[in-house]
Amino acid sequence: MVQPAHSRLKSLTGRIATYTALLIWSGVCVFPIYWFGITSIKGFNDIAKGPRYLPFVDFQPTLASWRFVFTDHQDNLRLGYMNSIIVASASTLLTLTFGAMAVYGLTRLRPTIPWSAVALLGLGLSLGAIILFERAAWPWCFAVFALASIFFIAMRGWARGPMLEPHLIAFGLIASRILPPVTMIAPLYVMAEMTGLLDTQLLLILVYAAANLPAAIWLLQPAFGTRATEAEEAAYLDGASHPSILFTILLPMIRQPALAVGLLIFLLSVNEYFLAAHLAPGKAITMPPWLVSQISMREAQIIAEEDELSHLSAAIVLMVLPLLAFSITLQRFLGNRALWQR
Amino acid sequence: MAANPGVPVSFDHVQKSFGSVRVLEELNLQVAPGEFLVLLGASGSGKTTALRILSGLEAASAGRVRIGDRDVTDVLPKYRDISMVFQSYALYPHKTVAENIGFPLKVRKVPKAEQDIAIHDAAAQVQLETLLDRYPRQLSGGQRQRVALARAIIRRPSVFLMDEPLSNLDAKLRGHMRAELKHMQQSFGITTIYVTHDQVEAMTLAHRVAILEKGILQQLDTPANIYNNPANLFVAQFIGSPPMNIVKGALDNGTFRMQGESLATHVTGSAADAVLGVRPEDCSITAPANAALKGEIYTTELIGDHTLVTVKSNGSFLTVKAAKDFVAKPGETAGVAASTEHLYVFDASTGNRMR
Repeated sequence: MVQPAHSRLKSLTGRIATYTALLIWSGVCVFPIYWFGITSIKGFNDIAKGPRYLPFVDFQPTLASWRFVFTDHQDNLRLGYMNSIIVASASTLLTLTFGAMAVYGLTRLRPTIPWSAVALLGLGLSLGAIILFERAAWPWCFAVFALASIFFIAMRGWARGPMLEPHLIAFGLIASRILPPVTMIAPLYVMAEMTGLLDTQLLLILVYAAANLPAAIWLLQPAFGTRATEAEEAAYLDGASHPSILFTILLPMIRQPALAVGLLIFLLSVNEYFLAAHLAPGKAITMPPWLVSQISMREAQIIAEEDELSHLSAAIVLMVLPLLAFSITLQRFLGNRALWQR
Repeated sequence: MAANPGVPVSFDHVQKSFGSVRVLEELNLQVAPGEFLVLLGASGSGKTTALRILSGLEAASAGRVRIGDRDVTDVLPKYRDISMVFQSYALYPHKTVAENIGFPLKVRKVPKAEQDIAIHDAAAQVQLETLLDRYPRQLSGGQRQRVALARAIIRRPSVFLMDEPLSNLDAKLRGHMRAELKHMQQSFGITTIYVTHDQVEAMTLAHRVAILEKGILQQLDTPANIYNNPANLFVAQFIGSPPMNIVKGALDNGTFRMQGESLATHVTGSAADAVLGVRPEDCSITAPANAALKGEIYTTELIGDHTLVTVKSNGSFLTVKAAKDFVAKPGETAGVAASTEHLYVFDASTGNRMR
């Protein structure tokens, strides 16, 4: 039944009930942010004396915490803040780029890889690992080169055997996400240590990009569809290369869903705690581990230092603000039908 | 505009299967330099597949494709010197009209100044000069079609490929663009392969029409010959509106026999199962006594310049194109007459024309 939108909320009581419910829910959603906001401008006494709700009425606001956060010996906060933004932005860009290339490849070029080549790759990787860890006489890059050559020879030579189809490749990529991150932390730590990347922004960027790639592939696939559009085919006939079709024709055409995926990946990266806490505890620390470290420090102290609460609140507000701004800007992409149509 | 000499195109035993489905059976087709060839067929006939194989978007399962004196079967599309117009126009929505038209040159890294001249030149050919800064969404269907055409002509390819380019236009605009397309092709002299399911487009545009059905080339000839000399029953029924009247019977030494009546034909020979065909405009309504085909009037429809009369005869329907002032009541008995030279006879078992 098609009904004009305005007739649905015809009765006054119905409208009042609806808006009351919406108002209450909005309060539930907004209150935590409001609470962090006012806590960040409370002084020591106002926090110690129990709940205070309205600035200028309940308590006299002070910018002491903000001054503290921005100026006084809070290098770690600024460091965490910058690290978070750099790591999340760079890894999101990397994830989207490689995710888009993967989905383009899987849906447009439809590669098939011989199972024999996959098996050989697995065998070679195991051998390579043994060589690497047993500290064999020859350098590991030599092993990698030999492995790559064998793989490509197998790709060409055994192309008539049973094939790994694109949908299986896609499943394999996404299935790698089944592994819980806990199982990855030890090998990641060892690899980071061996390559000298431990506690660097680059490490987090690469690890996040790798960890979020399956999600990006999964989320981008519907926007890409299952085959080339006529616009892509036209560009291909006119002589455009596959990368230029992807980046100059296809991605601009699906920029709305792609941006929505980007936003999601960015939020995943910026809020990630577990990997960051273990792989970058020092100079590359990001906001989530930093915030947690502040709370743990407070718990360890016998006498609560209320000042820290307002400092923490200011930091949290600072962390949430750009995300909020970012989300609101992109809200029209998420909120409208762009993501759900196509 | 100097006329392009045009290049020949040929399909040599081209086959295409998708998995176990055969889409194209051995297609052999020679297109003359500068020819406007229309591939005509219903959906699923293989016409679009043939075009895509020529463009390089699809690879042939077997056979060779030649453009000019070059075997392009294994050549990448961009080296085939072709350009294609798609049914959806395939414009880039985020690029302006000028950027859309200039894209093939930009990809080929033609200097910017040269690009601009070519863009204006191509836009002028299709009367788009004033719309160069617009985006495709700001254009009407006809204008978008022109942008697609301009993008196809800017490179002066050896061969134009068109995949139902007019299908998305409304009827009036379609007629207009058809005339423009024909004029443009004539002035350029570029070999053109045009895919359509619309027989009017095929008849009006083509030098020659290739009719495909179930992946098999049914007939390749000029529009006049396709219409007047159909090679088989499929072509006879596919071309013509309203379609040719069909009567089942048997051919006995040149005489067509059905339901106790018989009709002399030009055809020699016999067939146990034969089909008699006659076009509605070659029939006339006469007194029942004077005709071998008779029945009763089913409906009459005034079309404008003529009246279509449907006669129900032995359970089948015969359509007759009568004068516009023809009047008859449904249920009246009537005869359908046609002169012998307008009768076509087909072998019902093979569908082939008997001559």
